[in-house]
Amino acid sequence: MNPFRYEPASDAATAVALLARAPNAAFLGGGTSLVDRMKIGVATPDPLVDVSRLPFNQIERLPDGGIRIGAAVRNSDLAADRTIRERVPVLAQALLAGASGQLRNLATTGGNLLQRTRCLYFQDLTKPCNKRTPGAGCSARDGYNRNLAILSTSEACIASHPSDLAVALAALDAVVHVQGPKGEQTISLGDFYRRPGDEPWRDTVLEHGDLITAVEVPPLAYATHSHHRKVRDRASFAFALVSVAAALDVADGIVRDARIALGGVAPVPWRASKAEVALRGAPATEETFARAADAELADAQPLPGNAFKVPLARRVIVRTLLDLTEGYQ
Amino acid sequence: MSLTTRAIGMPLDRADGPAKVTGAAMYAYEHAVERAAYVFPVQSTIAKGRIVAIDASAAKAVPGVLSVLSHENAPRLAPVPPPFPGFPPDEDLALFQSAVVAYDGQFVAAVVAETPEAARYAAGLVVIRYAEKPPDVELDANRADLYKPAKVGGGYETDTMSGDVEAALASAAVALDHTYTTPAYHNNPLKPHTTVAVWRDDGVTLYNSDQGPHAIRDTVARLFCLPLEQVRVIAPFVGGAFGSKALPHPPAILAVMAARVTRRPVKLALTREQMFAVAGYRPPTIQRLRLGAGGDGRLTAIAHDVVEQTATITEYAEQAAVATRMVYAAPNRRTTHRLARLDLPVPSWMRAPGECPGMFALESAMDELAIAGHLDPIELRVRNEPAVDPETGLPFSSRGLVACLREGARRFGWAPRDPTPRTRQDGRWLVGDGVLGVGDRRGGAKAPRPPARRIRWRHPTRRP
Repeated sequence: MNPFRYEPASDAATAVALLARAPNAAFLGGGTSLVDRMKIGVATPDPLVDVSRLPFNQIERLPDGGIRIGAAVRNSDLAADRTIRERVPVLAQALLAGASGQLRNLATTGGNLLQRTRCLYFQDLTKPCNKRTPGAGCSARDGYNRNLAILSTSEACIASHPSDLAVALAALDAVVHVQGPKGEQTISLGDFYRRPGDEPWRDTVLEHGDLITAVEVPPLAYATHSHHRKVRDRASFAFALVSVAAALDVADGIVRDARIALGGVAPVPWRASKAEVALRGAPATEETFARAADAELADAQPLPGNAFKVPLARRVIVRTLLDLTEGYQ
Repeated sequence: MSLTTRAIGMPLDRADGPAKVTGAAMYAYEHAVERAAYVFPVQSTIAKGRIVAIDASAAKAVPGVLSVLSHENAPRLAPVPPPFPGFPPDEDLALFQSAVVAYDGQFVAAVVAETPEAARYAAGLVVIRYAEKPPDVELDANRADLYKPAKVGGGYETDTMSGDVEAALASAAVALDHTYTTPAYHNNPLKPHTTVAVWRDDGVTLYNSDQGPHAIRDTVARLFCLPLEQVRVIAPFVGGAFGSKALPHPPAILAVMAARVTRRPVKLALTREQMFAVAGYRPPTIQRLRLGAGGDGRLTAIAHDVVEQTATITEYAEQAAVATRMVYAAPNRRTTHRLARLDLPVPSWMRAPGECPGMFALESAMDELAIAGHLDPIELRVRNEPAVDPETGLPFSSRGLVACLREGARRFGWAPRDPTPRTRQDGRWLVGDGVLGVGDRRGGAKAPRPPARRIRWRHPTRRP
């Protein structure tokens, strides 16, 4: 491990200022992802600015029915929160599908969104990786890519995004609150993550020194009918091969509205907008759901090692929507 | 006659239980030694080739670094002894004796330092330049270079043949030809491999996380040219092993070498990641099972052909078809093992070597045969119970397979169920069952020890 300095931050402004002065510094949340990368030499921040004790640990009900989640709220607390469980069960389910109890006790909401890919080559300093070292080349394209992306990949990178929480937040149209050297801003989750293109080392639109302070979930009445389903190689403590976060609004057997996001299949939490369009106004039947899944997956560009994800994603989408439809019967 | 006992069936405290749960049990790495130094290995980043140059200057400049070991400066070791008479030596134990790289992750250098942190940090600064060759790493049953080892694990014959299997299969009322594959299994226990090595005037002492103290004692004595009585191995607690600590592996040799070179007691603990390259693993297998039976369910032929892998630097032949030789009667029989030498880490013992993958394949095939022949899977096995060992003709000293199967069937409620596949559901899950006997040869009488198990598993329902 490389030597580094550790600086606990007393307030957000100080934390942001500390980072602005130190180009190699990084914020430390729960440490469940960053510290792992430090151990294997993939991340070498200095100093580490600990923001986990900043007063961003509240879950607030907003007057309009939305929910504001502080960036330092631990995953376990968020998953257990009554408002979350009642209004947006998909979010609690996504959290509980991730990591382990011990990790969820530490991991923060903000840190969860900034996890980096678990592509094996990204985590192996001895193998070329464009995300780790710009221009080095991609080992995964011709290597082991079972767990990697099939949508919106680039020549430079086929990494998949690891967060389960972010998939639920993508379906819910969440908004990220950021405080940075240039002031405060809000970024919708759909704009927050970058597709790899020819700059795969940039996962998000955040600039150095930008600190997530909160995530806001806007009101969505039918999110009470939402569900997260995750398929993985192990029943627990494994990243998604395919996951689906969905909310469905059905009346008289017709889909009035739907939200679908996919995990494990793209470099970003993947909002399945094409599937949503195919669902709106259509009968809530298995045929409709399969057609919607096909519409979304038509653009998939799988490799031999992860081609199974296309039919798997189709089945998981259909199954999840069927489950939600049963809830209306 | 009745037997009274105060032990069997009674709850007993483990003698070492209190020490373990209170943290008082001293595991290998925890042994306190004066002036300990720490060693951290550098692993190859290529799968095949040669080391051309090693630049250790940055590593040596790290404060606290005592030595950087590699083939360029390591003490010469005596030739590696075989683990047992007649078995090939594990050349992986010839640590730092040549520039050749045989697999990805092989130890190619190591840093010894005053602290584990300094050793690990400096190990990351050792720059190694390689002349790389294209590696050959894919196991395939159709490879042209598969070869027949002289023996397989346990010292068993590589192949056995009797009768005319092909003719019996061709004329069988029910025949089956299935191929089963098993992946590599890594025996990666809670406590990774650790060694504390202490040289004194009267030899070397190893505090080792170890299932096979005699094997490591013998190997260290031979490699370092010491009489056996000058090598002590102390291993009161293992910390988990699953067979991976029964035979010597490179880490213990590295600790002994580092301690000798630096003239300091040296501690070594593998990281979890390192365990996958240098601690052995059960090799993957490709097993073709062919069974032939008459209309009465009696087997007329059993053929079990195994393809598996070994490393280029030593030979390990998992005896996957050996259990098949004694489990069921059949007049025509064939078992074979063929190996591919691949540029991969060295496979070794993992719990139930041979029987674990082999019985999975045989018993899966038997269940398939029961379905094909419209016979109850237990009845099929009972009808093929041999009176004597089917291949040696020797009597069994004890054998309880039929009794186990019947008792198991009774307890599981076997008979009342509908055995047709894909008919029973538990919610959205399909429920099925299968039979698996596990045989194990013990001692000279080659007595099987076959507890029968019914395994219940669940598959998701196939929805259209």
